[in-house]
Amino acid sequence: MLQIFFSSWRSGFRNKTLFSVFALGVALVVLANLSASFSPRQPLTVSLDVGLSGLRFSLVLFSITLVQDLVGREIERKSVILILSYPIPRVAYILGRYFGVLALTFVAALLLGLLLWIAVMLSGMHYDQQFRVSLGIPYWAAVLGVWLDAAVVAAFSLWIATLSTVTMLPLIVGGLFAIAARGAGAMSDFLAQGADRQADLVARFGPVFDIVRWVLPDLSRLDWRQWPMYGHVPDPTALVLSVLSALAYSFAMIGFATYVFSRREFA
Amino acid sequence: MTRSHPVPWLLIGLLSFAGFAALVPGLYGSPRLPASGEMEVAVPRFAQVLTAAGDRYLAADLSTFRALVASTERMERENYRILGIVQSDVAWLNPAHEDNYYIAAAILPWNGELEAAQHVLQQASKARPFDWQPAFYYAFNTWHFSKNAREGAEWMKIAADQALDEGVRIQLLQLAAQWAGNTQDRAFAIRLHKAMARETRHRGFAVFLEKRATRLENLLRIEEAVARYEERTGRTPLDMADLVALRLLAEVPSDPFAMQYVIGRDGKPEVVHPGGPAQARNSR
Repeated sequence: MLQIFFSSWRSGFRNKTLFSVFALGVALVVLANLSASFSPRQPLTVSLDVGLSGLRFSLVLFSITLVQDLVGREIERKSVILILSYPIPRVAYILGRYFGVLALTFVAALLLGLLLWIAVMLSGMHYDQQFRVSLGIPYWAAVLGVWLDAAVVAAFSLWIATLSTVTMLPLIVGGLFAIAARGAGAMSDFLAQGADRQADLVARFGPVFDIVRWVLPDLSRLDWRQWPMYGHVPDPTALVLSVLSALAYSFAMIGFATYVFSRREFA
Repeated sequence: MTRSHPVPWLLIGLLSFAGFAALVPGLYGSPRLPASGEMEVAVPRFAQVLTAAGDRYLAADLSTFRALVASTERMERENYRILGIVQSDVAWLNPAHEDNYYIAAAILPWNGELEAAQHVLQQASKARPFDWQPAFYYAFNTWHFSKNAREGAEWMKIAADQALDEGVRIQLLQLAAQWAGNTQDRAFAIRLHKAMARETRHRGFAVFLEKRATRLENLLRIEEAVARYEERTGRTPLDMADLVALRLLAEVPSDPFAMQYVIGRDGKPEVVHPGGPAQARNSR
């Protein structure tokens, strides 16, 4: 498994697409800095807010691109057969690849997080904002939440990659999954509060979301940006539950991926 | 696969580019479709979250940018209604958004969208317990637009509770006290003053509030005495001595601020400067 982990690591650094995605992340951080000029009263907060949104977007794209490249493409090119000819269990391949993806995404999260940290500091240079943002532990906790979010999406994409016979499928389905899982929490919240007095909307979509919550993780729970932005410390119970839920969902996806991959014929 | 000769393709490329260049002047000279005006549509919240890749905070930022760059000079009644919806949506997406409540307070109530402004400010006040300003703007709007001094005073007190700076807190409490004193509900005003006096850490200000509570209690006693006087005699008392004469008051109460109580032409007690017939009226 360790060899596969390190081969994932090396492939990641050689991959040009990944560098493009990383460059996109850098561009989004710069955009976050520019967005501060749209704020009359809280340039630091807006810069951090837009920056964390950019980080969430680019890290997920980074992780699903990695899954597609390291697993999807190897299956498509049949080069996976070469690896499977070694005397290693198939689960080692799946876990090695997944942890490789997690490690590379973690490095990307640290680098982009550091860049965003600098961008936010710079955006507050010309205006003394009344309510400062917390760029210490609360900020890095929010970045960790973004990484966990990307880890869940990567696990789902990995399962899709083991099922798929089309290379782009993990990327597309993984992207749609990320959007749905992040938005589902907000939508469910909206419906629970009466959908702004639109009873027909609640009647139509309420039952749908009641089912959706059992199959789709609520990734908005891993968004802890209220802590660095407004000093709202996440509720400890909710925090632990959201992390456990993310881990359980990821393990489930890895389990499904290993099952499908173990049964798949590559000849 | 046979290789095609490259020169004809270069010629085709150059000719096409020349065609493109020839079309440029005509294209730029032709009229454009009229650009969409300010704030003509409010996108449903579902769509806002989805177009922001499922990220409600990003959706809030995008809508606030939209509200910020809207040119109010060209906006009409319906556009302000849409702006109210857009800003209320942001108050749901991210109620703690500082720019959103600030823009809402600055634009909406002054253009007929008081309800939307108050909704945004109420949400912001809940989501920003460290920030006194949303509650302050809410209080101001209640007092200024709804002419409800009592509710305004209650919100001003909430603003004072949320102020971290003691100086700001005292100023807000002073405003709350002033507004509460202006309401006709004396009992409420007395309770508010006493509560505020208990809560402030500033001793001098607490004394001031207690004195105001005493004045309000005096005014309440006089009002009650006037009502009983009218019941008994069927006419309005001319001065305070009438009330003492009928033993409705044991004595003319002394004002804690060394002012004087008189009975106005409408039979209501008033606070005036002692001496001088053209007594300057003070707040009740």
